Amino acid sequence: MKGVKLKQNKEMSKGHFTVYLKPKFIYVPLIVGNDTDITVLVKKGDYVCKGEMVARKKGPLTIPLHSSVSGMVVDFEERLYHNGAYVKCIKIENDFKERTLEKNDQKEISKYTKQEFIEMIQASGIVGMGGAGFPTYVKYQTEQNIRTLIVNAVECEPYITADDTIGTQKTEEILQAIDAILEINNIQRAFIAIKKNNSELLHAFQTRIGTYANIQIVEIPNRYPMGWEKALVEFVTGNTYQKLPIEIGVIVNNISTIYAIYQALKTKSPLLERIVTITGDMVKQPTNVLVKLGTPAHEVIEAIGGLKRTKDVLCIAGGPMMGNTLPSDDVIVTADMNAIVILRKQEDFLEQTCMRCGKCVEVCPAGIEPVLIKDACEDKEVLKKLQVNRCVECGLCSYICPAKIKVREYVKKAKETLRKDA
Amino acid sequence: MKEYHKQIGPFYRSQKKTSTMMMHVLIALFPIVLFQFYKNGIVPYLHHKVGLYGLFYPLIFVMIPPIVTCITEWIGARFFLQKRGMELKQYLQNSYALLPGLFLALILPIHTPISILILGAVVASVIGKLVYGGFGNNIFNPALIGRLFVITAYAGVIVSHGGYFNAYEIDTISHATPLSNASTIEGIGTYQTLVAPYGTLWDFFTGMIPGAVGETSSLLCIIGFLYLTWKKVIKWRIPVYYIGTVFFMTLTIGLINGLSIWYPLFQILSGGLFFGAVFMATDPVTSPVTKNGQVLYGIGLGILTVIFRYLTAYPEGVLTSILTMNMLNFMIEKVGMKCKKKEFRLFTVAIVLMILGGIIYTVNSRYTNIGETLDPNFKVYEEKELGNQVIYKVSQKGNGGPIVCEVAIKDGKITHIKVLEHNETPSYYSIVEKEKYIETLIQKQNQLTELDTVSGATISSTALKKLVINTLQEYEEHYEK
Repeated sequence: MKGVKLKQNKEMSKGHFTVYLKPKFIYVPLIVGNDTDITVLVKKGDYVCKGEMVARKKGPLTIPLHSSVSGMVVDFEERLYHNGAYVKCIKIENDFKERTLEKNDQKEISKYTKQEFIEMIQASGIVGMGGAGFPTYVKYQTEQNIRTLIVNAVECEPYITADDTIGTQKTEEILQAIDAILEINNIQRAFIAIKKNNSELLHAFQTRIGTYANIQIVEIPNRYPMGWEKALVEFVTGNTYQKLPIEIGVIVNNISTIYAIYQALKTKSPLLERIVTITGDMVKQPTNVLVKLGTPAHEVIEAIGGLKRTKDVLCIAGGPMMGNTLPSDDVIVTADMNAIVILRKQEDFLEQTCMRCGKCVEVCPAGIEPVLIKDACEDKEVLKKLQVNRCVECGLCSYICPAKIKVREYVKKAKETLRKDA
Repeated sequence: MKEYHKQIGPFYRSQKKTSTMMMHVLIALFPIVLFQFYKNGIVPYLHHKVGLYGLFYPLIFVMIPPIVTCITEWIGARFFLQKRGMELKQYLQNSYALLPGLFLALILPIHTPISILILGAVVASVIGKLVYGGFGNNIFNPALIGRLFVITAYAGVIVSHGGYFNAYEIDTISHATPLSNASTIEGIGTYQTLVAPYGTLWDFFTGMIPGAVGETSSLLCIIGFLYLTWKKVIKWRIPVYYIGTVFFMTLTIGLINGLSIWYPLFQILSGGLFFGAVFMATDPVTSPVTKNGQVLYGIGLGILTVIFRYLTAYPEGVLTSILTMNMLNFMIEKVGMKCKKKEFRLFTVAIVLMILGGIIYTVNSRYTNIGETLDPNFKVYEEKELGNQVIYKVSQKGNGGPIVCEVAIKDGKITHIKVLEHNETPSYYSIVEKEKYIETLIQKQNQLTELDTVSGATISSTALKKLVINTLQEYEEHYEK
């Protein structure tokens, strides 16, 4: 079987939940994914309402960015984004009045046409909340016949329990949203993918699923990276695809994204909040926190009790496998950031000679040969043959290497070499 | 707000290190070292064949080469590799110099003189490892390089010291190793001629047969394989496909010749196949990293071993096959990568099956035709009648070219054989002379097929035996019809 069983460390934050919805300032980073080509729609001194669009990503895959509070645009400032770069942000001072643009009228969530549905989730700025940040409406805007919706609640990265929290707290809403999406888009069936060992989440869905004939629960083995789209689709449907799951009539949405869709359909409210897991052995009380997008994470960490110690610690955006360290914990919470993990500094292993044991090949979920890519780092012809671009940077090659070589970094470098060439 | 450390992920690392993997290999080898101590030390001691020194000699024997390889690498790294900017201490910690030495001791005959053993270990370290730039860069398995050197340069010396037999076996078993014995038998052999001289197949399985120091016990190799596979240390596909290929091919050859399941079992349990497959062929540095490559590597080893055993003068074949495949490793890797494509995989499977079929066919036509056609290595120069005697001047190809003899036959019986000229290795041929093999041939000319060859001088004695058989055949064709 593909993947590796990792130590989960999820129990420290599991079941702990709190809210932090009163930030003094919020910051809207002018970046989507790695794209900074963004039109700003407000200027210093403007008053914005909660849910008002303040910026928009240009280009064909347009995404709106909203203010999650009502208040005054006070400045433009460079703040830390979760990819480690400092990015220009719109700084908005919260007036704590929660004024919205128009009165939210509630609507029956399945009373949308497909076109209205796509426009709604586009206007709401919903992106993949599992970490990909890919605009969700694009997945539905397809000529292809969608046969299957897979709701990804696997959350295979260790430590993180954000999806678990939303799943156990909003089970009924999520099931309603899935049912509505199936009806609106004329999809035959949906699968909710939950890890075998996550008995609480399984129980929450199993007890409520009875009335939804087209929704099934699939138990996923406790292996990393089973939450990776390609591995998940193959496990659930038995089919593989080249680039996108829609090739075989499948759409995969993260469970947090499904809840965001529910809110958009129900209250016409854009994506303004999300659950972030703040955890790690250096956090006094690891917790899942509901925060407004744009909140500096430092405030949230302080609000839940702070850190055990501040010397020799790492601040990781995302999980320990795929996340990267940040120079500061003052990172701005965005829709695609699901966790901040604070760990003690790791042992710095000395890289030894590769003895070609082939473990990285054995373990690679994408089926490529990291060790050969490492050897051929400069040779573009060979790199193309080695299908470097299939790498998803899951990090298992670095994890498994007995010589403690940071194999993934070589593969990343190879990808970079090829990209420059293209 | 505070500043944090910067580190490169992932922040999970597996517990496994290169050093723990090497430790597991040592653990898997431990029972084999103990077993060879029992077989080569304790058993002869209990039968009063050796004294106290002989009792502990097997342990001393396996300890010397590791010490030598460690010292050689230390010196080598100090004088050659350090100049290339490597930290000496760091290099030695990560070069695992112990293992090639230990492996070398386990694949040599117990009677290898200590001086040659030390020389072999130095060659293994220097030619096998250091000249390529040390651990991780070598193309060939270092221990095999050491063995190749020792066997090609000093085979005669080793044989004259007693060769593969330990002190107990030398008195109870009169044949060479099972496979060199098999190569002297006309045709494919029978259970009586192949297995019975050494006991039963169970003895083959447990390892109580003559052979290199550590390679005889297939049972302990299987235990080692299971342990190393469980600990995820070795590339398990290589031994599985290697042994599987040899089993499948010899099974087919056996079935065609009317031999049942014991025959392929005899083949896979002889000649250190299990030891080679589990410990030598899986050497990570010299074997492929791709999964398909490992499968191909295993099958290739199996095919080569069968070729060496049946179609060449080197009956053991396992270690030579591994060296050959080491050389082809880079190619196997490329094919293995391409095999991810389905069409290419089918193509490869077809090629492999064709090679398998071709070799089985060649082996069979070679063995089933024996006796029907004239031996191409046999020549008749002269045939003259002298009274009631017929005198032949004939030659048979030996190790160093034709052995020319004068054979006198009277009333269908050989009365006299005189070797006129030969070019055999003196150290081997002296054994033939010492054993009075020619006299034996004359005495036992009616039971030639059952007659054993001289262990330690297999090729020369086989040639002489064939010469006699062929001459008798020649005589029968002319005078008895």
